[in-house]
Order: sequence, then structure tokens, then C-alpha cells
Amino acid sequence: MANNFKDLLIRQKELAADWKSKGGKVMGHFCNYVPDEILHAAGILSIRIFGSPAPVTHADAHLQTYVCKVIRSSLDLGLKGELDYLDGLIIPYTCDAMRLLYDLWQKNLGGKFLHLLDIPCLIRGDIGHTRFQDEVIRFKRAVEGYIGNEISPDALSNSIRVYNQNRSLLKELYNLRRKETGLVPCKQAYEAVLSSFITPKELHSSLLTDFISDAKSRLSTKQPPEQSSKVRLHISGSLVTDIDFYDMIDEYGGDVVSDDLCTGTRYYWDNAIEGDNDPINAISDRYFYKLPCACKHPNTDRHEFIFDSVRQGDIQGVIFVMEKYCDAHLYDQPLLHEKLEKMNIPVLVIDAELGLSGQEQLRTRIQTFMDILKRK
Amino acid sequence: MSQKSQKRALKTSYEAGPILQTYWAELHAAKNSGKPVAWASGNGPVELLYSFGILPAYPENYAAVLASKQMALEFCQMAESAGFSRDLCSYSKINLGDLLWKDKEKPEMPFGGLPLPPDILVTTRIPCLVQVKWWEVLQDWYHCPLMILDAPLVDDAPTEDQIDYIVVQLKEMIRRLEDFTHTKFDEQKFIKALALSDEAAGYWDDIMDLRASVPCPVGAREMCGNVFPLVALLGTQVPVDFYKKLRAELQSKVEMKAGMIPDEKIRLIYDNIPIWYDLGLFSYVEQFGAVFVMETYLRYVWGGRIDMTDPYRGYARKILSNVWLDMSIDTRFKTLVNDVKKHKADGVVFLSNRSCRRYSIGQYELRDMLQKELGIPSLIIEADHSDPSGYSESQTKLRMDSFLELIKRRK
Repeated sequence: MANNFKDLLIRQKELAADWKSKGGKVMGHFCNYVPDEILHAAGILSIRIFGSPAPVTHADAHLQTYVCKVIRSSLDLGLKGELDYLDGLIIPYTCDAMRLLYDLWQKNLGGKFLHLLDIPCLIRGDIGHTRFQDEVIRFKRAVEGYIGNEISPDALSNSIRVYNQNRSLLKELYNLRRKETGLVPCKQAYEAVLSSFITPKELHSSLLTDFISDAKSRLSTKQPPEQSSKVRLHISGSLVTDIDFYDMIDEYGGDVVSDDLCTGTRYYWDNAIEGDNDPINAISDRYFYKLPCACKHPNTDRHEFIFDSVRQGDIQGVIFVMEKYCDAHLYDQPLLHEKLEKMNIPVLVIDAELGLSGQEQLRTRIQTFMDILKRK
Repeated sequence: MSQKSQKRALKTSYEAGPILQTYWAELHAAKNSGKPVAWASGNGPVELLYSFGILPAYPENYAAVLASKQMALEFCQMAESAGFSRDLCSYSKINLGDLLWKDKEKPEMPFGGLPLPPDILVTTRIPCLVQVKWWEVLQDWYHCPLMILDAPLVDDAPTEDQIDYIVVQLKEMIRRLEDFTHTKFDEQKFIKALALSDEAAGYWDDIMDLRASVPCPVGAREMCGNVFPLVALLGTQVPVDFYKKLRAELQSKVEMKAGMIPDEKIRLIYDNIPIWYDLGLFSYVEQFGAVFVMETYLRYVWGGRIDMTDPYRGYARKILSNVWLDMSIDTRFKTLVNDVKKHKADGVVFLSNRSCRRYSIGQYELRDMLQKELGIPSLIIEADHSDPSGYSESQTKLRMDSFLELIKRRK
């Protein structure tokens, strides 16, 4: 059971190929702002592109090295043909580099369905709301143009239910782990989240349901794991895709019980409202009001989420995983850092270029940080 | 990296300094007398602020001043030691380092420093998201109102719905500024400010066009010193008078065929923010018979004409038009092709600017397309616009030497 999610991650291309062999289409997207439900309702498998920690070989001729690894390596994957299996790609205007990636993609890898989701920076208030919704509707029309059919409100309502179910399960897993330290190793929990980005939702939710009930049964049959002495951590930042990082934390006696990552809570925390007469509004609102990325304004809800999480009193330390050249998060970090220290929460800041676990000196830093927290 | 002032090609250029002095004196006088002072991003709706009687200070421009006076490094380091990444925009590092300064004696600040604290913060995503993030930090420190003008990037020309989005935000800003100042919006004053802005921008466009003449009457370095009124004072009479006079002088130079340098052989275009701590690079090329005749930073960042028949939409259209940083890469290319032809340029120098990603991403494509479609060679130099750490003046000049040699051989 435990390895199912890991298998999904390994078998990503196979999953996509399976889908396509049944006549389905597969589309990629970046970030956390593309309304997947629309693609799902159109019968398209939507998967998130994470980039790759491997050295960049082809993209350096198109893009400077002082751009974040997500952008550089994703363009690289595209140029190397590793994303050829995708039938289309959706790029949202989140940060500046992501917006300009759209132009680079269009120029160098154009030809297939490529959509710029030109969402505003403003994600609170009427002005941003209208613009955001207009863009979501424009996206829906583009997808309809691609499939040659209208997407019915019923199909959208169904997709909302499917996505809500998956998000609710991920949230349930979060709550369960938070309550029962060590019940599910953090690596497995994050494999569950990451695999959700790339797996047909119905399949993922069914695996997740079993996974959670399995964990709960361990709880009820009184087989509590003996790891209650684990140091409980919150991870802050943009994305963590190097799953072995969580193993490294585990190895030195830590357990990640909370985060504000876009490969974590920011992906599944908020649901869309069900039963809306106009489901496209519900979908748009879900993405507009969700826990925001640092590239959106205001993103104080994310800050408050971190502080609220820490205020629950069961977090012993915060690790910031800062993706190099990610301006939006890098401007927020010193402010958050200072406020957390005022709350007496020890903080560790580590740099990432997608890959983390390969950094030997990082092991020492994490070990030292854990030792400090254990002594506190 | 000496920045000693050169003899200027245009007499009017000597008036830029006093304009700057007066602007700063008025800014401090306003602050001292209790009038509200805004901290504003470049490309923001400055005309609107002036129509409300709010004077804008420009942390970004002030950072450039510090960099040009070789003072940037210490401020950058101060921000870095407070936890801000060294990879962040060096304008912002200088400003944050200034505000976070501690534990050692602060150098004497030019113009008496930025007026503190800001009473209102005004920013925009038009040049970059970094502005918004930087202004969020300022708001966190000063707890004063923050107004953001959001904008999409523009491909070709702004669409009607993009213009609508700006108009609705401008109207919201007007409402908020009424609340903030406790005064009623004076539309006539606003329209007057727009008319002044448009007039000054018209002269500026003419000036840029006059530089397309052969020989080129004035180079990049001198024009970098002349752009300030356009950055900071649009909507007032000052840039109108200054640029009108500058244009007249330039016209007579062009009529006399008086070039910036005696024997002009090579005409260059420059892309990206100037290297403020080594503006001498612009004049360095002159000894080889080369002159910078056009810069994307001077031509496509500031100013912009306004269609006064429909002031709100005209203003919104201007805000979204001809701003290099807000153009798609394809539009940047088309614009550059026109300018290479118009200015009869022999080559393009791109500054790959590590702390301005929004400006720099796409430069490799521009270089390749210029070569392919026009046969125009480019040079890419690496530096940061304001943080001098890691900059190699000699390496940069060596690369410039080879580039000029290459162009000479081709001619």
C-alpha cells in the first residue's frame, strides 16, 4: 500500500500513455493556478510539470542561468523532447519568469495547444475578481475550442466533486498526521500529495481512501509507531519535489507535519463550492480565494496560515526551502523569518535548485538544526 | 570605473542637475511641512499623484543615484546581512539596505536621503512583479496605504479589455486618493497633468528620433543624465520646458550635422538598464569611433503619448504601450528591428542583468533573431545594473573591444 504513490510518481509517463491509449488527451501546466477541473470536465488528463533537478543541457542557449530551475529545467525538458507526449500546455501568469517562459515556449516549442492563463496579480477585491473570472472563462472557451465541444455545467459540477474529494482526502491525511505523529512517515505523505498532481483523480482518490483507512486501522488496533519523539516541523516555501529530502529529515529525527508549499497545503487546502448554479464561478472563486502564492497580492493569507499553524503549539521549528532566483518568495522570507523568531520558533533557511537531497552539507545543517530543536 | 563628468554635447543638459536639486528640495520641504509624500515605482501613475498635490519620491531612482556615486555596495551588503538574498533586484537591495542600516556610520546621503517615512506607497507590476514584492516589504515596515496598479504583459498593442482593466484600477485609485487626502478629485487638474505629460513625452520622442540622425548628435551617457525629469516629473511643467529646449538645441545640432564624436564610424544600440556604477562604458567606445544612438531603457521605459480625446482610456493606453519591460518577447523583437533600421545601427549591446530577470529573459532570442533576420551582430555583457560586486570592468571592455573590431571588419 505504502509504495503505491511512489509507484505512481515513477510511472508518470506510463500513466499518461495509458490515458492516451484509451483515446484521452494529456495536458501539462505549471504552478497552482490552472483550474484543473475544466480540463477534467473536458476529459483531459491534467498534470503538473515540476521541472527536473538534472543539469540543464539545451535551455541555456535560450535562457540565462540566473532564472529559477523550475523554468530552466522545464524548458530544457521541452527542448529535449521529453514532454512530447503532452497534447498541450497551459502557462499561468504567476511570476515574471513564468510569463516570459510562455513566450519562449511559443517561439521554440509552439505548434500544439498552448494557452497563457493571463490571471491578475490582485487576488482580493472586485477588480481582480472580475479579471480573474474573465480569464478562467476564456480558458474554458479555449479548451472547448480544442476539443470541439462545449463543456457542460453538469460536467464541471462533477469535476468539482471529484477534485473536492481528492483535496478533502489530502487534507484529512494532513490532519491525521498532525494529530498522530509518526503514524504515516512524511515521505509517504508527500508522495501522496505529489502523485495527485499527475494521476487521474478518481484513481488517486481511491488509493488515498485505502491509504487513510489503513493508517486509521493501525491507530485503532493500537500499533502506534514508536516515533513520538520526532521533532515536528513546518516547511515553508514554493515547491519541494525532491522526495528524498523528507527522508533526510526523517533520518535525523524530524517529521514534517505542516507546510505552506504549492506542492503541499496550498494545493489542496481550499475546496470549490458545490451546488453553484454556475459551476464556472465556483471554480474561478476556488482559485481566486485559495491560499495564495507569494507572487499574488495580497498574500497575507499565506503568512497567516504559517503563523496559525505555528500557534497551534505543536511545531518546534520551521525550515524555509528557498528556490534560488524565486523573487516572490525571497522577498517574503526575511519578514516571515523575523516574525517567527519573535514567536520563539527556530528557523533554518536552505537554498534549493529543485534538488536537495544530493547536497552533502545540507545533511550536516539539518542534523545540527534537529539537534538544537531536540535540546530545546 | 571613474565617473568624472564629461564635457556635454548639449548646453541644455547642464540644466538637468539644477532640476534634480530643486525636485529634491521641494520633496523635503513638502515632507517637513507635513504634506503627504508618496514612495512611487517608476512607470506608476505619477500624473495622478501630482493632480492630488502628492509629491512622489522614487526609491528606485535614488538607488541609481547611489550606484552612480559608487555608494551601492555597502547598502546591498546591509540588505543581504539582514537576510535578503543577494540575487534580488539591486535597486531594492540598496533601498532596503538604506532603511535597515545599523551598527556603523552611514555615509552622507546625496540630496539628504529619501524623505522618511513614506505617507503612501504606490507601485505597479508594469515593469515587474519585483516592484510589488518590494513595496509589500515597505508596507510591512511603514504600515501606510499601498496602491498597486496591476497590468498584463502586452503583445503587439494593448487590447480593449486590457485597457478596461487599467481604467477600472485608475478609478479605484482616484477614490482611494480622495479618501487618503480628504479632498475631492479635481478632474480638470488631472487632465491638465495628462496634457503636460503628453507634451513632454512628445518632445522626448522627437529627441530620441533626432538621435537617429547621422552623425548622432548626443550619446547614451549624456542622455542618461537627462532622463530624470521624464521619470519623476511627468504631469508638471518642468519636463515640458526642459525637453522643449533640449529638442531645439538638438535640432540645430542635427541641421549643422554636428556629431557627438568627430568621426562616427559605428552606431550601437544598448539594451537593459545602464550599468550605473560604470556609465563610462558608454563613452569608452567613443575613442573607437563608436556611439550609442538608442537605448531601450531611454526610449521604451519612460514617457509615452496620451490620446487626450479620451483621457482615461488614453492614459491607460499610454501606461500599457511602448514599455519595453511590459512587452512580450515577440513585440520586443519587432520593436528592436524597427529601431535597428531607423537608427542605422551596426550592432546591439545587451546587458544580461542578473538582478533584472524581467528585462533580461529573452535577450538570447533577440540576439539570435537579429542575426538571422537582419544580419546584425550582438554582444552580450554580464553585469548587475547597480550592485558592482563581481563586475569586471576590464573584461567588459575587452569584450567590447572585440565586438567593435568585429563590426569594423564587417563594414
